[in-house]
Amino acid sequence: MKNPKETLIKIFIAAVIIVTCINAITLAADTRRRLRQNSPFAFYGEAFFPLRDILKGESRIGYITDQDFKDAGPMLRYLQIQYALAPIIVDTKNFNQHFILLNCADQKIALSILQKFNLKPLKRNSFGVILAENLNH
Amino acid sequence: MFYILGYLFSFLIGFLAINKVTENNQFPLILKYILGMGLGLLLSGQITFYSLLLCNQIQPVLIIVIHIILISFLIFNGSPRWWSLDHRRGGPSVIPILIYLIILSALILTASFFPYGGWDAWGIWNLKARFIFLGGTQWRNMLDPALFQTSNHYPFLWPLMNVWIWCFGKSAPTYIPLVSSLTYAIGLPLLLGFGLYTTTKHKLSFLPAFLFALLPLYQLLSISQYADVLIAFFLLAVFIFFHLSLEQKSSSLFFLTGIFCGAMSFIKDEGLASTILISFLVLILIAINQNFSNRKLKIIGKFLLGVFLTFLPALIFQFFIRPASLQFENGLISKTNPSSLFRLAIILRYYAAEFLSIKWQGIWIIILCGILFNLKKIKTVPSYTLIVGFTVLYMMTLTANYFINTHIPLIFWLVSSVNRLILSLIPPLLFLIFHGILSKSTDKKDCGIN
Repeated sequence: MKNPKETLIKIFIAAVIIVTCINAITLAADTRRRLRQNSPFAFYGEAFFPLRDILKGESRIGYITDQDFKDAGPMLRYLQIQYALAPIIVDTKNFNQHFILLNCADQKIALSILQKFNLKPLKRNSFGVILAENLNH
Repeated sequence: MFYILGYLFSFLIGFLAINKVTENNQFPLILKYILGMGLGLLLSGQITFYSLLLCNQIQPVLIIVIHIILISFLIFNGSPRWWSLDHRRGGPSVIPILIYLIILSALILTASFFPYGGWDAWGIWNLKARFIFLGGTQWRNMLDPALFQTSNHYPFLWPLMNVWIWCFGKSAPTYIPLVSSLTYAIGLPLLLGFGLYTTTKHKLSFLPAFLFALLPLYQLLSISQYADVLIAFFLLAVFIFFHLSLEQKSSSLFFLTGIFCGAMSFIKDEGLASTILISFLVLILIAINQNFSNRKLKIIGKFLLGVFLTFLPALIFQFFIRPASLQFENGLISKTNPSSLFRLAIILRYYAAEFLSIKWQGIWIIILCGILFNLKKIKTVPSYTLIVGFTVLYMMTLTANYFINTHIPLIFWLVSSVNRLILSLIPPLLFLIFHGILSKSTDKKDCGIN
């Protein structure tokens, strides 16, 4: 009779080959599903790349939102905007800047913020985000 | 188009440097190619770091000139055999190469659906790269406290590697981090497969690499443009080189082990922890190894020199650049967010659920069985002891971090990080298991502790 350890090792290698084949099949199915959908991951920040031309020369702008950063969605949107506008700092705490980005889910809140901070809206993109100039600055 | 020159220069530096260090060792050409690319990008990132400190902004011409000087130096002072390297016969058959091509195609296809990578890619790593490259002398703005959500206290070697490639153009195209990420994503299974093939010469050497690289979760995480795939690459390189150093009793290979070990320290905090843990374990293993009775000091010296050379940027960063982390609260002394045994129980239960999760397709069960097969050898073969010792200490360090830092909501933190962090442990563990099973040399005296 063969060494039982050798037999166990053979079984082990056979199991690894089977799992490798399962991995390959799962991967192929995943890839096929993605190809069928044929829609790359949407990057929210892309819509903000054109703002860099307007903000040329600025090192910091303000960012006001009515959404809670503890939720993943608002944080994701903020970080993607920061990515698109880098090397400009998009400051969520200090609003005493020449330019302010207003990202409000509720447009009434956006309007009230514009009035409260004496902001002049310059641009509004497809996501409803407003670039405003701070008239007090 | 010119960006390809960046990868070429990096490859040449890495390849020639490895060739120079290993000129007196038996070292297969294919491993030099794989490690050349990995090490080359690392060295390019470090050169970019020093030039950034020197000029306080990115000076592409200076960085490219430094690369050309270094390449020329390595060509003229390197191994005289560099142009006629051993083209020995007896390499692997064409089947593994074909499977690697399939894996690469799958990686490219998956990556094309996520051109900006995952959350940490645009939220941390590529964001830093854009600040450094586009910010001019204002690059330090990325460390501003206002950017605390972007983990501004993280090291930035990975962003610097991409900045280096961007030096060959005027803009910062988003596909460069993706290409760099793909380089390591395919480099890691290549290193695992050819590392095993080099040390065992067994036809099944490539099996664990395919098991790992065909895992859908690996495909997704490795093309996410996160720094974790780099940690995994250098971690595996450390263990393979440590094994080869012992096998060939070569102090120059210990030097390379040190280079790869120190390399992780400037990638991310877990890398820094890995560097410290591995250095500590390697020093103990060399100290108790009786094969190097009168050469221990020389070997330790070479290893520590290697660690120091690639650890230096991390030291500079930690002491002179790193801003205070606003994402830390010591739960051991905090009254508002104290750590508790309940917190520890959640962490451990999460680990159990993670290791058994279907997304790993049973790979951790395979690893557990494989380790059981090799239990005896783990005690006697130093490279195996190193891998297992490191895995245990690394998991303890991670757990301590999750337990002590109560600033970040625990469940969110565990869900978003555990899978990436334990992914790095899989290639070394697979190397251990399959080396133990496929190799006949591990029972020999020369590799073990007498």
